[in-house]
Amino acid sequence: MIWDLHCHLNGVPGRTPDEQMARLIEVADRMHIERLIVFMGSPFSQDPDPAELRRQNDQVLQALSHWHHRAFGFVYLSPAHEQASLEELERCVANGPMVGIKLWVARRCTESQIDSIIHRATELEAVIYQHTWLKTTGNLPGESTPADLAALAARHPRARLICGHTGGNWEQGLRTVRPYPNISVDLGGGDPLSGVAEMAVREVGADRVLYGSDVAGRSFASQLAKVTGALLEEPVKQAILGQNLKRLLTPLLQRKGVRI
Amino acid sequence: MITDVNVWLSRWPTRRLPLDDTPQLVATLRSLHITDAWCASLDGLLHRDLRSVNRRTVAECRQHGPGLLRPVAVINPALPGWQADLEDCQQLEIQILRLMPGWHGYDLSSPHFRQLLQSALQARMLVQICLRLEDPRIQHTLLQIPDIDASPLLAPEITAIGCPLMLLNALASTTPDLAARLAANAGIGFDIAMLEGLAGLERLTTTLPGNRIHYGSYSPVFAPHAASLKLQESQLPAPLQTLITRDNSTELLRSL
Repeated sequence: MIWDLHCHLNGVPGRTPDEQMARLIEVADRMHIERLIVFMGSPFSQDPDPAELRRQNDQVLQALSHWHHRAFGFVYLSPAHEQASLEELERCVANGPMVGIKLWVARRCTESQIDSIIHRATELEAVIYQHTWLKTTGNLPGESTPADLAALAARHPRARLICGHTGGNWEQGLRTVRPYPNISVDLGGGDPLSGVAEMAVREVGADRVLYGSDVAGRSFASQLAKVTGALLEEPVKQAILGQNLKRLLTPLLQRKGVRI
Repeated sequence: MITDVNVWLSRWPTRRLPLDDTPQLVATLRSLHITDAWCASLDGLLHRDLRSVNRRTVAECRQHGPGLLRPVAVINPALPGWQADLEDCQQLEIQILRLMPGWHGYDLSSPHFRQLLQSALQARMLVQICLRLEDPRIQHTLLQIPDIDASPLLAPEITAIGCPLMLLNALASTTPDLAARLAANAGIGFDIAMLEGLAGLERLTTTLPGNRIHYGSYSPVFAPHAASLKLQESQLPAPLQTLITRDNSTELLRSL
């Protein structure tokens, strides 16, 4: 069972979200991926205003509309627009089909405006995906580091947090989030370096490691290889490839009456 | 039967790799149906005694992968006396050279590089050039190595030499337009190790001719399965897949 935590419409060929979603599913089928998590629309917007947030979430809702048996969505939110984000959270998760939230690079997750969003997402049992990077070449001004996420995890110990890209510089990212049991790590979105899955399992435990691709910027192939080619036992690979994500999503899916 | 044009032996400088033990690497390559693996040593990144590095590569290939591991020599034309290293490669019957300009501190407009291409042509050798070995965003702070610009390879003084060239790890940092011009105007081949994107091979074959694309995994730095799964992710006609996985590299070696 393979569930992909991290998919985008941006970059997928197609004139509409429906066409892009159909193409994503077509290629996912070749790789035996059962479920996709999709977030953010086209084009990528690093600091979207409220109207743009809503427009991008509408694209994802449209893309999901024919594929609820194959895909789920995370709502794209921004701490730069706290009230609008809370409204989108109600519209897309509390009263809509989405099952998590995506926070990108508009503001670092150390800023206090994020707390109301995290608090409400936690009430809803929604998964919280925070993009993180620790770039040798320097981060964007609003780009969170694994240390920023660790601080957020300490403030919100019940939140179901995901450390996007395992911090990019994954050896440092894993060391940073290791003490926080409410943080899982996303293996997606970096080069398919050998050893990342093995170190992740060793440092944070197999049940906190998630396969994600970051397609269409990345390929399913390169990101799957981090897990399928890892020197890990088969049950551990199965946990990373899908079972861990399914477990994280199950409480909210059950509340929504989604059978999986 | 697959030829992997981008394989490495020995140790990455900043971490141990799960398959940096050659027998384990050989077993994995065989499990992925690799029948010809072009191998250079990662020692060549920082070592200056490259003659020793290349001799160890030959010995390692003979000991652990006869018939599978094909030795590739690392040459640094910025080092004094590199011509002697090249002569040593000829004595060792090595047919392929691998250059790491970023790690060795020169660019592709350097006179040393041009001289090396002339010597390689005379020695009937194929030259592989690594444009990148690591994403600059995750490099060690003390080992920040820039990507190499391939556009000087289009200069008449380079194309006139006529040395067969292949770029490794080029597709992350080279624009599709530049790659297409390098393939069309200079006959340069590309490996797929750093090819990314949804069904990336399908997209690549719309911008590069099939006879300029080579199966390369960048094992064991990259997970060896990644290149193999790229074939699964893209639906290519069988003859094109055979070109990429075997026939293009076979033809290159035959032409030397």
